[in-house]
Amino acid sequence: MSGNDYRRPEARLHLNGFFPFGPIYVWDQVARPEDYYEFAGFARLARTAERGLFTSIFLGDSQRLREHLGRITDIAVTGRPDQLVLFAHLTAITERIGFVATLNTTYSDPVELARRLATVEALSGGRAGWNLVTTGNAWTGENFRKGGYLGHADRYRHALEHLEIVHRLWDHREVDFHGEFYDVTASLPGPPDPQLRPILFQAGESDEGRDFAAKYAEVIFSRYIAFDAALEFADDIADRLHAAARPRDDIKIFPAAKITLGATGGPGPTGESSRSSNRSGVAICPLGTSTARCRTSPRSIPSRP
Amino acid sequence: VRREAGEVVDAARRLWDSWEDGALIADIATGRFLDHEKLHYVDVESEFLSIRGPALMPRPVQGQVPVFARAPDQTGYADITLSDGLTALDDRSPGLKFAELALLPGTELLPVLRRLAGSVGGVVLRTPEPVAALEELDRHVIPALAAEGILVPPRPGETLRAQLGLSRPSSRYAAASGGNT
Repeated sequence: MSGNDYRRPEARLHLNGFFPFGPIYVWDQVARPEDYYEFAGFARLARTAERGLFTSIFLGDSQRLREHLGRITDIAVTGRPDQLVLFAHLTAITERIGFVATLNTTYSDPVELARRLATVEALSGGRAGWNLVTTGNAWTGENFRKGGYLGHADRYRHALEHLEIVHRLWDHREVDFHGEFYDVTASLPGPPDPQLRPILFQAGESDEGRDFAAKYAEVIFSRYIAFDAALEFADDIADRLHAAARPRDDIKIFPAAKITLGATGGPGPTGESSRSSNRSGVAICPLGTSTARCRTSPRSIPSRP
Repeated sequence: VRREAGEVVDAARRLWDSWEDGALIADIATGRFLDHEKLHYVDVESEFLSIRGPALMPRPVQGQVPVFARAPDQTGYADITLSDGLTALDDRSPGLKFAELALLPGTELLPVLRRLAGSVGGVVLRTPEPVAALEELDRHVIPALAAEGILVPPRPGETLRAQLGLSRPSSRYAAASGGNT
């Protein structure tokens, strides 16, 4: 089956920009190296994406500087700002685009994360998302006082307890949780607001990751862009949703697309001009039909004439 | 709690120093964005913490973010110590001192501030009615203090450290590796 055979009049697209390293990846493009970390570049990125009708943007994250052969990598931009602090600032200069923060459950405190994300959610009037990630490597854990302690099998059980604490805090403003990994009694200030609950994104590719997404996520990223592979992934997620007693439209699937820009009439995708953009822009569109769970979408996509 | 707080501040300070000034070089000729000689593992191994480093962001603009902490318990690692009211006058800890004052209705603030001015670097005002208190300050207290030269107006574009008259420290790792640009 080719893409042209697949027509759905009700289908709607959302664009989500993914920037693994920040606004600029090739570092010979600006005058000051500090530009890669400072606010102006991220502000330009957010405003441009908003003007371009993107529903949301999200940034990659890493909790340790990149290394090669036991040494800090010095040939590439490394390190990045705290995403929630950055997003709190970016929401003030934008009006409708959503901000999806990549936040790690393995090394974060759920009560603190719930509070910080709820703060960005309130500041932005409901434009926050959480790309839930886990880390199983001790190398990253060396930057955290608890150390690297979670094997692959434990990562999602731990993430589940973490998420449960966060959700209870958002929904009830109080939590009294006693599980395998956490003993937590905590509360958040203010009344619960069901309209203010950050959207949960997930990108797990393993069996456990896909199951986790099918049970809890509202958006799942997919690496499959070729039509048949993307459909196979969507069918797999649909089966897992069914097993989790969730309707098919409960989750949106965002396949990744790499965008390569070339100057008009200039070199093609393998030419010189593609260098600065071929790692930094990914547009993502859903195969789902429901838009009900993506709150930012109605305002960011023009209605049909 | 007190020991742990000290360890946390010490670890944060090491992380702030872990990218020396000048670590960002963006040297197109050699293809290096960073000078990795100027990035340092902090290797904190203390009673409460275990952190490898380096920081995930370059060194703060101020070198070290100013740390405020309450006297007398937490003065060992603070840039600015906060003391209750006039006890600030007796605070012998080194560094900049701030006095915390409760601003109740009818408080005669001017004489207190004049008295503190020679001994402390600043005051923290606490009040149950911040809006009304700010109006009162704006109308009477601040013009009087400014006229007497006691109040230092903030200068645009300067860091908080500079506003407070604190110098910008160089990275401890720059000293250890024997050079800085």
